[in-house]
Amino acid sequence: MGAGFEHGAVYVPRHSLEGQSVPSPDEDTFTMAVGAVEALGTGPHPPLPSRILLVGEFPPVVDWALPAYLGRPVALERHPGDAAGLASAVRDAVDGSGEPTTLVIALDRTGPQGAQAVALRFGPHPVSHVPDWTASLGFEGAAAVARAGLAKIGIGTDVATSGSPPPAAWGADRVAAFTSVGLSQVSEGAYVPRPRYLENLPSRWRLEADRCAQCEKVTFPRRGVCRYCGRPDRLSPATLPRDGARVVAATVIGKGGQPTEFDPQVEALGGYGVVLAEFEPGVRLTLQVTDASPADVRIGDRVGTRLRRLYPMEGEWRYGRKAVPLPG
Amino acid sequence: MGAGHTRFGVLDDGPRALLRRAVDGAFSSVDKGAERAAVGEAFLATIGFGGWQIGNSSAVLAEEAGTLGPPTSRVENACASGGYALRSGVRAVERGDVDLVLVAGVEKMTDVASARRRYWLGVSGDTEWERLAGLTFAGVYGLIASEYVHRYPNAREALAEVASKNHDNGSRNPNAHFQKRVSREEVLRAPRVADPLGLYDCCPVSDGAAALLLAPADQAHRYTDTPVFVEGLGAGSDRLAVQERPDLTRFDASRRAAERAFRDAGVERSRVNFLEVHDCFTIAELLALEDLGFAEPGGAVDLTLSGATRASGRLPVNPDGGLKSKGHPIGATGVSQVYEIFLQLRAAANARQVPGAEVALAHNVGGAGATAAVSIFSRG
Repeated sequence: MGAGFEHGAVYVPRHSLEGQSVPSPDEDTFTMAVGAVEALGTGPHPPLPSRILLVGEFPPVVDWALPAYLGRPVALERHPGDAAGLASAVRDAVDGSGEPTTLVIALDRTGPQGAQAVALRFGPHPVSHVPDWTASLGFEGAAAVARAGLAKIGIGTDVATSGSPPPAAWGADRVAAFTSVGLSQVSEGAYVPRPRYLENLPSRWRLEADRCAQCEKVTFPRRGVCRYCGRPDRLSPATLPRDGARVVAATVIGKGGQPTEFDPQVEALGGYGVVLAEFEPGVRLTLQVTDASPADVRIGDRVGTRLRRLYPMEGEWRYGRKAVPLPG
Repeated sequence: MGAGHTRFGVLDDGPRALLRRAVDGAFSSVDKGAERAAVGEAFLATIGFGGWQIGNSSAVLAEEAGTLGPPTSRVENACASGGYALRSGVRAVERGDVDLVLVAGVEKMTDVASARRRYWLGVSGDTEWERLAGLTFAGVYGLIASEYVHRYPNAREALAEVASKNHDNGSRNPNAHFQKRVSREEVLRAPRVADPLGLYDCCPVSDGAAALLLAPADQAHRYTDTPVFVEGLGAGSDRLAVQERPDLTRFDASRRAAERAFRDAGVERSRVNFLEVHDCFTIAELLALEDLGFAEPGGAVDLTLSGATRASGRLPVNPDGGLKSKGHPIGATGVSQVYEIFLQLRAAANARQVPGAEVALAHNVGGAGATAAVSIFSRG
């Protein structure tokens, strides 16, 4: 029978310059793909795809990182980042067995409209069989066409772009200095080995916590036991909401105040904000601020959390969630 | 019955020379003399900053102190290492099978290359959640200060007063890292390190060592006619990451430590003449006053602005300059606090003397409050 189009979403970075969207220095096509998938609502929340079709240029990390982000194995297929690749991916999504499939298109800065990502979900409960506007989806204009097309069939896309110019500190040469840093760094003092980093991904990337039926409290980050009553046997999974945590403390780290892992970032881009955000009483997370000037996020503000690059270590970028200002 | 202390600051001496000097000072301070050979056990407080000798560092103490043979061990709870080493020392004395116990603290921090130094300044906080969000020691206290300042009016002024007061006290301490006074205005105008904390809100990176000699109370007269007695000890622990605590603006580890120490000593707070508290950042002194029970939440602001905690006030805090001005060689700090108390309670603190000092309290915290030790002393 095949799959039909169920839902779509667009991710556009917050800032833009002369009509072209400008990604934050800690964004790449992987993080933008995650941004689009989260906007689609098929992030760590069900229903989950069993197949992801990627159209565009993605870093090698995506092969393990996208399934890790979703928290389950998914079949990943890559298609070239051009109009023909997009067309073949759409055909592939539709002609499949009807299994849930997410198609993700991501562009870095080089598209005429700048950086963006689109996620389209195909599955057994279609809104329409094949949206006729996908025929006019050129790769480079995908986001704009998708937004218009989705709007026509009554699906709004909640795009977080403010359209405002990026902070002055993000000049192209400075961003290049940061993003092209050597990846062979090893931290000499406190060092988080890769297995420890991977062990925490469910909490760090998916905001997974445990709710204890014994004492009715939430343990976050997850530890395998309730951190209040110590029992391991009455826990059930709970996922914290991505958006809406309230800032209870906020500092700005000046040059020289950063852990050495963040030296390339500070040397290129200057200081950054760090907040303590509260999801519910007793459930808090320390988050670096991004998509904003360091002092833009204040105590009392509500923030969203987004997956972004943290720092380079032993041949790869490490990723984690950071806080972004919410509109309004 | 003995205490020694080196200059704190950016020094030429390495850790061995620092330990030797502090221990020599401790032995020469014993009025009726003491023999190295009488030391039955030794404890070294140090984090081993920079990694110069991570394993078996207590053997270095034994070599430099001339106390090779008897058992030695390292005690580490980040910046609370000194306070905890004192606890270990007192327990060893109480066992009853040794004549003398040596407790020493040392840290050599300024010979480490700058990038490596900043690695090490973040090692005592939560690594996986605080460090990966971009926080070192200063950043965590910056978060704490941001909430405190948001909640309580005039808190920024109080932070500046703490820095200014402690620098004023440090100007009378020949061992202090910084001996220059600094005004409240200079503190408020200085560049921000971890807003709202600025350059003068933060303790320096310092080298230094301090050492103590402990003996059973009933043997004190063999060593001196003016001993200083350990009246009570308390200590506590708390979650490593501040995000897992219900309230940023209190350290439950300090509260538990204080309650236990006062109960152990059987002493009322009103009898304490002065405090040595852990002002790694100015905000930490305000929290300390509240955690130790000398002020209600937010009350440390008025207490500090009233001048009560100045050298001339009714409850001097950090008469030796505190970590802020005297310096903070991590392992040495908890021991250094007891050195000052030793001098003060024997009326030997010269220009810094707290008049009529009879009872004093030391408060030593590890990192951002995961560990804390409180000790109460009295004049013999």
